[in-house]
Amino acid sequence: MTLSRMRRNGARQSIAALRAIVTFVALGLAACDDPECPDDQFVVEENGSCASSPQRFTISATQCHVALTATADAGLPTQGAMGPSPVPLRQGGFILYTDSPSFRLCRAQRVDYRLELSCFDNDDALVCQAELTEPAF
Amino acid sequence: MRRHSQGPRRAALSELGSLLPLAMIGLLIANDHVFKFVFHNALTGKLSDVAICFIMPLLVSASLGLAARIDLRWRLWAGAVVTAIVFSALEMSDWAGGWFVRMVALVFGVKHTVLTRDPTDLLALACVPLAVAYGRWRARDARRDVDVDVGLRWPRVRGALALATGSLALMATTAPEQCGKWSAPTVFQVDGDCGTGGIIVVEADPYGALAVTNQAALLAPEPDGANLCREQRYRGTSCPYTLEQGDWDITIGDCSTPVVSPDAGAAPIDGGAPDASRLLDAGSSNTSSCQAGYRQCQATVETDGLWFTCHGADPGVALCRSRLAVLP
Repeated sequence: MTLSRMRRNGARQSIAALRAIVTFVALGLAACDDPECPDDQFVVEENGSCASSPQRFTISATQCHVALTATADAGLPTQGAMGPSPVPLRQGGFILYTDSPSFRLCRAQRVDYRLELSCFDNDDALVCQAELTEPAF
Repeated sequence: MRRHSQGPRRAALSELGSLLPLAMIGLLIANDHVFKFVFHNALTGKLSDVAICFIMPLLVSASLGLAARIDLRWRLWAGAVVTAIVFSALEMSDWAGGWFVRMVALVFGVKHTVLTRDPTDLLALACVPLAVAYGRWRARDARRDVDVDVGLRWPRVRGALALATGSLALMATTAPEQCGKWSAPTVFQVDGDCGTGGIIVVEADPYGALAVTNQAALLAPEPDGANLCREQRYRGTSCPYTLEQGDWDITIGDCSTPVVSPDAGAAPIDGGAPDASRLLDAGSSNTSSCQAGYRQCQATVETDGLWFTCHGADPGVALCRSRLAVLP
């Protein structure tokens, strides 16, 4: 085997290894999101009795978990999760809950064009209600 | 001529097939799939990082050595640079972490991989130059063996084994999930003596670990300064989890060998009010192997519904009981 042929063989193997790595990386990037709960996020306006004034924040769903970027002024828990039969975030069917400053559990359901949240305390008594609507830009 | 072309590649495998890299791969697998489940503490969090930072430069170097004729020093430093970049990115970048999780899902079919990030994990990068030094030291021995063509078969076989298992171990560097399907949190109404009562939200992660929101409603808090470890876990086999069917427990404190009292069989477990003083004294009276305040509580379906029952050091005596009703 000549030196030049050896070099060609080495180059071919390197290119083959490079191809394998590129394919692997491309497949990784193209991998689908978890189909159980579609990830989504959108901006909402909050009205109702949970906040003293209208609030605006982003609500998002990531791998079946729900998060709000709301501040304490919103009067809502900022973390939650989808129910046992997850639906797209805009369809409701999720709960928000927190320990701090006191226990709150809010259930979300879709009513017409808005999300309605009913929030309960430790004794399962209704504390407040909120309506989330997407602002018209 | 043939030996001249194959020798460096053989050596690349041989330098990986020595005892220390194999031991590190064994440590990584054992830690990720056994120790993290059994102990789950700061040490198990760091062991894998140390092993990864030692193994990865050697794996990358051996792979480069197999793929092409690259000088040992260059491929070892290439391995070191790749390791430093990849490890740092996974520790600090959400994008890199997300991409890694997708890769793991693609290759192993494991969803919901959890990457635990801690800036102190970057200290493990100190193992990278150690790996480079070790690789150079081993390569000198391996190359000498190639030149005299003695004792090469086993180091090469071990090297190939290390390359295969090490690569898989690096990708599967998170413990396997107990359940990869979505298990929604369950809301319970709690009534009983173990806590203040009220509403709780119980959720389990893909590894079966439980999180309870409004824990005080379920279980009285530990005394100030008790600092007892707490394990909360779903023990059932359902996937998605069926928390409303019980099979989950909460253990507070440690009790290596619970002692059964002579009258354990006569202890009432009838849902009646427990003696509150016994709860405070749990684990302190009849055994020295349990921490003061030790409690083991189990959620179990009984004939009249789901009950949460706590025992102390004596498993035959119920300290308290609470009834759990699922709320829609």
